[in-house]
Amino acid sequence: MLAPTVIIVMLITFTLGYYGPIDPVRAVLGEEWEDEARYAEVKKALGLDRPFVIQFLDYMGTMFGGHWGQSLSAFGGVASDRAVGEGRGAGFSGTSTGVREMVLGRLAISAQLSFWALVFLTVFAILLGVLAAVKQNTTVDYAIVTSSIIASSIPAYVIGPVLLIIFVLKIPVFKTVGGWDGMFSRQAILPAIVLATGPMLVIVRQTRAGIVEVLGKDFVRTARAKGMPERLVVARHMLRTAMIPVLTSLGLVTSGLLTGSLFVEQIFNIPGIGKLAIQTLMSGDHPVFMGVVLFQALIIVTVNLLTDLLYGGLDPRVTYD
Amino acid sequence: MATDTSSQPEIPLTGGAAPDRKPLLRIHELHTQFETKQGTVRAVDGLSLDLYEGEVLGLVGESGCGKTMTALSIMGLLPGNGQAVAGEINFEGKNLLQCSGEEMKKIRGARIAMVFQEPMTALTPTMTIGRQISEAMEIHLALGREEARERALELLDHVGIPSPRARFDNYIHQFSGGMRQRVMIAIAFSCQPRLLLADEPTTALDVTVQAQILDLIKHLAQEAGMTALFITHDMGIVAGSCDRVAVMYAGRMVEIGPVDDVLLNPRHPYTQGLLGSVPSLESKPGDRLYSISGLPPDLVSLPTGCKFWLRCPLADDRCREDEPELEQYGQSQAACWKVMPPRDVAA
Repeated sequence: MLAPTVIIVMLITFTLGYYGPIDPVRAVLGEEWEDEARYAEVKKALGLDRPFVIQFLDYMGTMFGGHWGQSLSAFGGVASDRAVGEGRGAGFSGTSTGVREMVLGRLAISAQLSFWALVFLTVFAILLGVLAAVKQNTTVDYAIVTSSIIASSIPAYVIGPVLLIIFVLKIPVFKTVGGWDGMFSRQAILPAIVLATGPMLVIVRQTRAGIVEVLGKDFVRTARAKGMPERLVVARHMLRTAMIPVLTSLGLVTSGLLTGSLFVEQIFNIPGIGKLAIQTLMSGDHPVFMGVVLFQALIIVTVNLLTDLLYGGLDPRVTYD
Repeated sequence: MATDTSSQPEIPLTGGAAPDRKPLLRIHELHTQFETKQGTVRAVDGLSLDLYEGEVLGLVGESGCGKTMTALSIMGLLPGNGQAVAGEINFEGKNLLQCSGEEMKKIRGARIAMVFQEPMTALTPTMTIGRQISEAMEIHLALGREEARERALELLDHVGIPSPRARFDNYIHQFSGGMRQRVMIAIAFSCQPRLLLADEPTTALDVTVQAQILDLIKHLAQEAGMTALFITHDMGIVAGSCDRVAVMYAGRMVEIGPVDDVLLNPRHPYTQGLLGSVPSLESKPGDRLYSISGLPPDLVSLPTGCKFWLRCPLADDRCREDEPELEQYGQSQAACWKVMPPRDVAA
């Protein structure tokens, strides 16, 4: 599953890059691009004068060789200064021009941010979902579902600035506006919350539906017939079964958090992979952009695989050969 | 509903139980209802029943006659919006219908246990069977996790699960139907309750396993001096396992008495019908099996008079208008205007 998916993603990104409107040679040369001799020279240096198939095979070779190529900024182009430089946040130390180093370095930051968002989601969204299900059709239920709908309906680029205004300007709980200072710094709190609000509704709903479905099951009645306290009936007898559909959503959400934190990273000025994607797309730094896309595809495939493996942990009937 | 509650006997008749026995559970005029869009469903409609210490009482009747709802009313585990709206269920000096949720949790599992019909769905699929047995003991007997585990292993051995240690951490899907019901029984007996409610414990099992499971429950109940209520529609189980039998129809009792008496001299035409639909050794191949014609009445709009008259071959005007009360006939009681004279009297 993994290899064909990756090859197809590579083909698509490469084709888009090849036929796309952004000319890497121009990106490297900047103002000088009108000089035809210079242009041809750089084009040859980048290997862009070769036919499509050769270029693609060469690209595949580079990727599978584990090198992933070089950023155009390595060729002394403007890419690094014009767009990438603008986005440099506090604590960003990306001086390397190797695509792999750039992607992995940025991904580490995004992963830390996503980790907190995921913790926030699993703790709060699942708790709220269980509460809503147990208090089904009461005010508590309606309040939880409604507030989740509201939280998830407001886009990150609205919630983010609003939170910044409240917690940085009005009530100065946080001193700095953005940037990244490691996952245990206070700067990580707000972006993680904003990142978690988007998928909140899905998880709350999914958990609620899962628990509601289990509520009427015979084995829940048996647990009650044993005189078990309600808290243990929920925790031991209902939660694991109810979590199976939630796990599916959490898998999708994790991929989404890792690959789609574009807005949040932009708003909070966090040098994660989302920001790298925006920067390289705007500066025409193709090798890096394609690396980002490819890596994101890899993340999605890997997370899906992990999700499947985790089913076995939840459901004892699932076995792997 | 034409039941006139004031004319019920003040002191419930013993219904064939030995007079020196003390009742452990007294159900008096229990009314359990469900509200539906079609109207109020009277699942249990004025049922009075005494269970005496140490006896095994069979509760029989067709599907939907209120047997299971009676048991779930005792447990306080009625599904949906089901509610015991009137009556009393007295057990160990308490009216269970007035117990708080906390009080009921101390009774459920500890004093009254229930074995359910379908062992596949009645056990949690995501929890090891060992934990499902031991967790109740941790709560009710205040055992530590290790002690409870040891007790659970003993119980598994006692209910006939081979190599309990290896099986303790298994899940329910790794067990056969009979084994699952053994686990269910181990759970029910784990906290040594006084009363066992067994709701069709063998219906979902292979015929060959049914007898084993019944023997196991009987044996364990006798060993512990436990009182048991067997809910079933199988007259064979009643004949083989019970001391007394109560026959329910449309949420009320129509006949109760010692098993031998009721099976040999059924007074109520419904009981006769139930017994008639059991194939006997005398019946010849090709004989049609007797069946009671028609369907049980709609519990939302019950007929006046005797609830069975629509299907009763003997019904007359009186049956259609007045509802009969339980009356003593020999060792048993029946609620019928057309009671047959007991065979031994007639002979």
